[in-house]
Amino acid sequence: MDYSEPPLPIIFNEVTKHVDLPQDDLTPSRAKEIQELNSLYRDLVALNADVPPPPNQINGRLNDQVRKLKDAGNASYKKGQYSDAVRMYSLAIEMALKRPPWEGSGFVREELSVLYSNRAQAHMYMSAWGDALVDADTAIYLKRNFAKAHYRKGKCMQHMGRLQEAKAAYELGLECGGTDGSDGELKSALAEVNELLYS
Amino acid sequence: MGKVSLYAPIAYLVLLLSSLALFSTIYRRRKVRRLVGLKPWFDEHASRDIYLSLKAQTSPKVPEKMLKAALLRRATENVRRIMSLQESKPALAELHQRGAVGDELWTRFLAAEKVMDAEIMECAGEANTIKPGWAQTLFPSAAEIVHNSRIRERLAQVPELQKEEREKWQIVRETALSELENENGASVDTEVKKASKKKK
Repeated sequence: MDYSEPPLPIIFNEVTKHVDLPQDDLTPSRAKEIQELNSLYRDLVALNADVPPPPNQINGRLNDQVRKLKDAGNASYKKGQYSDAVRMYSLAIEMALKRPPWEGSGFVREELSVLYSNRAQAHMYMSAWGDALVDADTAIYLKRNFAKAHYRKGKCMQHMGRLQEAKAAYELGLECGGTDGSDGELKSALAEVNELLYS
Repeated sequence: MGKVSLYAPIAYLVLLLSSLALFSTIYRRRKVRRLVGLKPWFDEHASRDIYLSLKAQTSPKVPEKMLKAALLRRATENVRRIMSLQESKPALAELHQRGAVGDELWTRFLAAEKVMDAEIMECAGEANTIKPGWAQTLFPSAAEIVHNSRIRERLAQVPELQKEEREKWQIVRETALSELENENGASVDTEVKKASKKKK
C-alpha cells in the first residue's frame, strides 16, 4: 500500500478495546496481524510506562511468581508427590509465558529451560517416559548446552529401549563442558548404555 | 564559407547533446519501467498498512497505545524481513555469481534491500515523532518479539509431541509384553534386554 491508496477501514471498538477489520478487507496475513496487534496492545496497556523498556529490563513481579510456583513444585517433588510437582511446574511455565514479548529472550530461555527440565524429572519418576522425553528435549531446545537435560533425555530413551538415541544424548551432554556437574552421571550412563549395546 | 565554419560546431554540439539526453531519458525510463514491473520480494506488509491506516483515522481517534503497539508490530515485521534478507544474501550472491540464478532475481533482491532500508528509516522517524528517542529501543524490542514468538511457537507444540511419544511408547511396550508372554521360562530381566535390543 502506498500513501496514495485509501487507508484500510480499521475500526477501534470502544467496548472490547480491540481493532477490527471488515471481512472484505481481511486477507490471511492481515487477520493474523490484527490478532497479534490486539494481543500486543493488551500487553502495552498493562505496562506501567508509555513505551516498552529496553529488553534487558525484566518484570520482577512475574519473576517472583514464577519462582514461587517452581519452589512449590520442588517441594512436592522432594515429598515424592510427583503429579503435584508436574502440575506446579506446568503452572510456572504458564506464568513465565505471560511475560510481555519484548522482554529479553535470553532470560526467557534460561527461566523456561529449568522448568521444563524439572518437569521432565518429575515425569520420569512417574515412568511417563514419553512426556519426560519431550520435556527434556524442550529444555535442550531452550538451552543447548544444558548437560542435565541431555542426561534426562538419554535416560528416557534408554528406558524406552532406544539405546542408540540414548547414547547420542549422553555424548552430546558430555560435550556441554560440564558446567552443571552432570559429567559424572553422564559418563556412567554412557558406559552403561555401551554395555547394553555392545556386550 | 565563414558562416558554415561558425555554425557547424554549434550544430554538432546541439545534435550530440540532444541525442545523449534522449538516450539517457529513454534508457532511464526503461530501467524504471523494468523495476516497476518486478515482483516484490516480500508479500504485502500487513502491519505497515495497519499502522498507516490507524494513524490516518481521526474519528473516533485511536488510543495512543494502540498506535504504539501498531508501530511495534511494524518494526517487528521489519526485523523479521531484515533477518531473512541477511540470511539469504550470501547464498544468493554466490548463486548469482555462478550464474545459477538470473539477473532478475538478483535485481529484485537488491531492490528489496533498498526498500527495507527506507522502511526502517521511516519506522524510526515515526517512533521518534511519537516519543523522542524511542527509535533507540524500538528495534531491540522488536527483535526480542521475533525471538520470543519463535520460542512460543515451539513450546506450543509440546502437548502434541507428548501425545505422540506416549502413543509410540505404548505400542512398543505392548508388543514387548506380548512377546514376553509368548516366551515363558527365561528370566524377565534378560527378556527386557532382548526386547530393547530388537527395537533399536
